[in-house]
Amino acid sequence: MSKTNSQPTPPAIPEALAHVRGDFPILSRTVHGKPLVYLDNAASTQKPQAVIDAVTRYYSHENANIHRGVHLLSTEATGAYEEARGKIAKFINAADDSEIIYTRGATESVNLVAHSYLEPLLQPGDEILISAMEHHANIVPWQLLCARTGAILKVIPVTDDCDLDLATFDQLLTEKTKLLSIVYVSNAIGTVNDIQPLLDQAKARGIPTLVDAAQAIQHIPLDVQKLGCDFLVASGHKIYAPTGIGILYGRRALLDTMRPYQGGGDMIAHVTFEGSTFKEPPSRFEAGTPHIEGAIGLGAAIDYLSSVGLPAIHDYESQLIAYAVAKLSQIDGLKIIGNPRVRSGAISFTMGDAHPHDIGTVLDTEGVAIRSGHHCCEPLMKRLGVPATARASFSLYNTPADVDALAAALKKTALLFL
Amino acid sequence: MNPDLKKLYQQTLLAHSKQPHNNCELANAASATLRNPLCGDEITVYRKTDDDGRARITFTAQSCTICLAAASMMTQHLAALPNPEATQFAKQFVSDFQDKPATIDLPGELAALSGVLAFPSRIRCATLPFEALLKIQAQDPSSRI
Ligand SMILES: Cc1ncc(COP(=O)(O)O)c(C=O)c1O
Repeated sequence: MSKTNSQPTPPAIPEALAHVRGDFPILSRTVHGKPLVYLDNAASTQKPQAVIDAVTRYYSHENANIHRGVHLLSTEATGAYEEARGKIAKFINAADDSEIIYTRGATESVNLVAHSYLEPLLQPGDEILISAMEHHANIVPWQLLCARTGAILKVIPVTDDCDLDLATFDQLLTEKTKLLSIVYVSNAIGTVNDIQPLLDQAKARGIPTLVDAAQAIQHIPLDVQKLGCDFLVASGHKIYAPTGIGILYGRRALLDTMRPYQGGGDMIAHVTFEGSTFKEPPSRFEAGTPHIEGAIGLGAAIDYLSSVGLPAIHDYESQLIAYAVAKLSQIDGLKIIGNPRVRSGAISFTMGDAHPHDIGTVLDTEGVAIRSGHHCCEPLMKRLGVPATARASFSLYNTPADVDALAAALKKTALLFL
Repeated sequence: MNPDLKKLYQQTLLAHSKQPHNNCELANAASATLRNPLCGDEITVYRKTDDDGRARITFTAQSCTICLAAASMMTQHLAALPNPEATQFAKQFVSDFQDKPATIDLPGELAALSGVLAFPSRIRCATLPFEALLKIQAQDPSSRI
């Protein structure tokens, strides 16, 4: 790759995002004596004070179980938990709050769809269609399901640039396809897939669809009704909310037909030893005492994102990532993996013989947190011919100065290994 | 440069990782493969005893600097040790590092690996080759390292 010497221009931080760094207390800490430059946002984002406060407020003022007590605390906790559901529904434009099911995260959401929706419908020889750039969370649950049912997992290939290779998409969608499950934004490479035509095509042929939005929901405004997907999954901890909480969006007509996921309290209408009947969605899929403070924290995170404004965030992050691509491209020996038409969130790269794990260690001593490895996308890494990459991933609080710190630390790494 | 980093990537270690010793497959040898699930690194260690009774240990790997250097040093050091001591050494090496002490005394060039103690997430990189070697023996208890 030829390196140019003209310096890329850093984007200006817009007014809407001018003060966001102050909202995240962790960003003022140091790491190995250096200011923290947090570029591992695709793995998990940091939490704003508003989310920390919401969780603290729940424990100091409202703590009680939900949907159970007649007492005030339980009523308040139930209210906060359900209010958060409404915020999420609105955030992704679901038609009804009951279309939002709380889960532990994107992983559990996929597993829930596999168990409660797809498994009872599958015959041996039926097909599930995914892509070669899926996270393991959108591969392994289907493999397990195929092993239980005799269904077959089919894979949309990717190009060398790491875009979807749609040349054979038409043939891959068959009358045997029982679900198209596709990632919106690749966590490993940052590819933004143009999923709308794929969803449209599946819908036209009566094939249900699932969108893995784990890396999209924090970067790109989503509208599930416009997308027309049947399911959509995401994790709270990647959208500035606590760990252990996530969502499954499911179109109500499908949710109504689905069997329970786990059995237990809160999901039943009646229990007798002769048999039990189950509540309507979403309760049918939320057995036991849920992650109440997680849901409340997720509601607060969505309020926070909405107050900054997702369109402004999307616009700024796009400029920041273009700046980062330009800046990293100037480093001798550095190779950016994948060249997607549209990119969001992440840049994966290798550097000569410097192993990504070693790059990660050197950067850590400079205060720069990135991830190295296969990013839970082993099949994709194999397809792209790299055993592992180093990955920098961005969020609303990252700045051009963070990118510069990354570039400077990478130049030091090069001195050591190249 | 950060002093811990300097100690981690000292010359001995970098030299081994750039030109690892015994970095090849070994025909008709017992072997075992291990992965570090954290980073996907993978190493295969081969071991056999030649007709003259001398042990040969080699490895192939797709792995980081630390793991490559540790494997290279291990193949040299352990092939030179007589049987029970070699196994004992590998076991001790793994358990010492897993305990994460402040320092570890290691013979010869292996001492260069003690730099990982300042980087807990990298300890497994140093122990992986030794664990793979022990796995060969676990698969076939009659084969003493
Ligand atoms: C694209 C994608 N899908 C699914 C997941 C799984 O998310 P979680 O581990 O929070 O369940 C991730 C997490 O990295 C991801 O990036």
